[in-house]
Amino acid sequence: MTTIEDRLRAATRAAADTVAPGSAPPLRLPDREQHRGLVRRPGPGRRWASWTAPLAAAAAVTVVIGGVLIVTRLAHLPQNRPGPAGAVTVPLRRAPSTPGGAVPPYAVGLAPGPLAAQSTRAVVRATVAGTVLATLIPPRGYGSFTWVSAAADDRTFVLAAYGPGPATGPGRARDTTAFFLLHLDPASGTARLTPLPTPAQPDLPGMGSAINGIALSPDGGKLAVALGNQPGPSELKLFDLRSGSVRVWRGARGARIDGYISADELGANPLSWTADGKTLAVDQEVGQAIKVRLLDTTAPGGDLWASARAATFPNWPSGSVAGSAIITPDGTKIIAMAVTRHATQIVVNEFSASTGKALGTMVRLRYRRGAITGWPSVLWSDSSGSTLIVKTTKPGTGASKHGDMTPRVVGVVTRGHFTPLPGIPAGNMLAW
Amino acid sequence: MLDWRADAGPLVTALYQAHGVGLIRLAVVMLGDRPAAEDVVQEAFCGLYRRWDHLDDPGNALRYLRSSVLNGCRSVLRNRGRLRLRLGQEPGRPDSVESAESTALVGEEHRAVLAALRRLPDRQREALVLRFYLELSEAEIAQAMGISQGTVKSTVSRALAALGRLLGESQ
Repeated sequence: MTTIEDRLRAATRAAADTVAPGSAPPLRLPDREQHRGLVRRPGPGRRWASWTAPLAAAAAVTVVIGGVLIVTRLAHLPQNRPGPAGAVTVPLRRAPSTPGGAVPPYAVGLAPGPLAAQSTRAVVRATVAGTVLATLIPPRGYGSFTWVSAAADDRTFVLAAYGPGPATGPGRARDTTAFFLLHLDPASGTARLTPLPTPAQPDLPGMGSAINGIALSPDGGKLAVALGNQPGPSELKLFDLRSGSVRVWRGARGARIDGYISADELGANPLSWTADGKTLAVDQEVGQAIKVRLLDTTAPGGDLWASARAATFPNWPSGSVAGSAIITPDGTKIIAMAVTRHATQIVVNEFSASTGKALGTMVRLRYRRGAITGWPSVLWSDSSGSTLIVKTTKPGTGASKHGDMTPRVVGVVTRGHFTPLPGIPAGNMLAW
Repeated sequence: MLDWRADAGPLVTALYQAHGVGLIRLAVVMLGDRPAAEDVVQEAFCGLYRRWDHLDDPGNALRYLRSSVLNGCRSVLRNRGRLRLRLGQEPGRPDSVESAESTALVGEEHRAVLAALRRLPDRQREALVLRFYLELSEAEIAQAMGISQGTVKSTVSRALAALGRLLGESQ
């Protein structure tokens, strides 16, 4: 009798044999010096084999023309470039006077540079007007800003930057993620970027950065760093920015094997704090659903999942997927967005953080079938969850053609209404 | 003689010529989708090229590439799973993106096994592919997956049991 193992060997080899020897498409290597940033994760279905050759000639011409443009455009980039030991200050324009006191005035977004895969800049915008108030490029030696998180004062942010770092001796160091404090001072009209003493986190050879989320505590005194982009157990590190101490929680080995701290591919953070800086909500990907874990960071214990109370949602819409969920700063609710089963609505749901009981649906956005792509995320909440900033598919969008991503928009949810913030780019990672 | 640190381009290209097909095959087994498999492998080689200066020993390149391909496959599978949930499809449903080429070339019995394999959780599927397709040792699997050898053993054991149940259901 054929065993399961034998059947498996035969089947996997048969599948592998569909790839004929010598049938690999030509390898296209990037320019090493211009692409020292993150390894971009592949997207499904992006076929490059069939059109590589005809595009190669066009690309060569583009490179020549592009080279001229790059030199021209780089000359206009902000020249902040701090070394690791020094701070840098850039001008902060005055925010235009607009109504909108319910949301924080400053949004910090991480935007792509002039070239794909080139430096990601941090752009400070006025939330309501969308006006660009300051732009910062990654510190010397770092290719990209990768994460951003805000304290409760909306003046203090932490930026994570990824790259080999500044040269310190012969040979090159491993790529690392280092952390920088960004302080906005509208009184003096400055935005100041300062290296944090928090130890840089080394990358995983072959896998890029292990970090898949950061959260600055509301008082700006602690920084939580999620290390979930790794094959082993997830880890959570909590750095005390004042004392320099660090506390680590690890997911137990051999526990739920597909349990990861999740990160929305569109840049939502899987971590959120309560206002007292004690409870950290962690989005956990369990199989292919999201579970929110509430970690009391003042309690003893080092097992990430065992130490954290699981918020369970019995009324979570069956069959739908939620983007990242956050805890309200007053600690009473979990707010999450979901796509309904037939993918014609996106809803913002609120749940009791203590019981998991569904409290209601704050807003219901309707779409034509096939219009919703990506997944929605709650990005910011006021103290009680009555006003939110969310990222979602743009209402009124038609069905996507050929599986393209339909337009997305950032907007404010309050009193059952969604109001777009058209000046805030939805493709950026954002923090308030 | 090539200076292996300075001559990244020719060396990475040579590695691709030697191992490109093998790694695409690994990704096809994991994903059941050749275009996605080619993308994952392309990204893995580009990542190696960008990080060539950081490689302590070129002998580690294949291990690096294999880990990178597995990681890329995990990302594709996660995105696919979430997309499927978003569209209201059953999470454990076999992939519908399997190429026509694969469907035509792989027999019915093999397709049933592959469909069951792709219904397993990511880590179980990965452990089985490393063990029974690549024939890696437990120590090598532990290194590739970043888990202990004990966990490899229990994961493979649970995965085989689950695969047996799934194949029993489908017959």
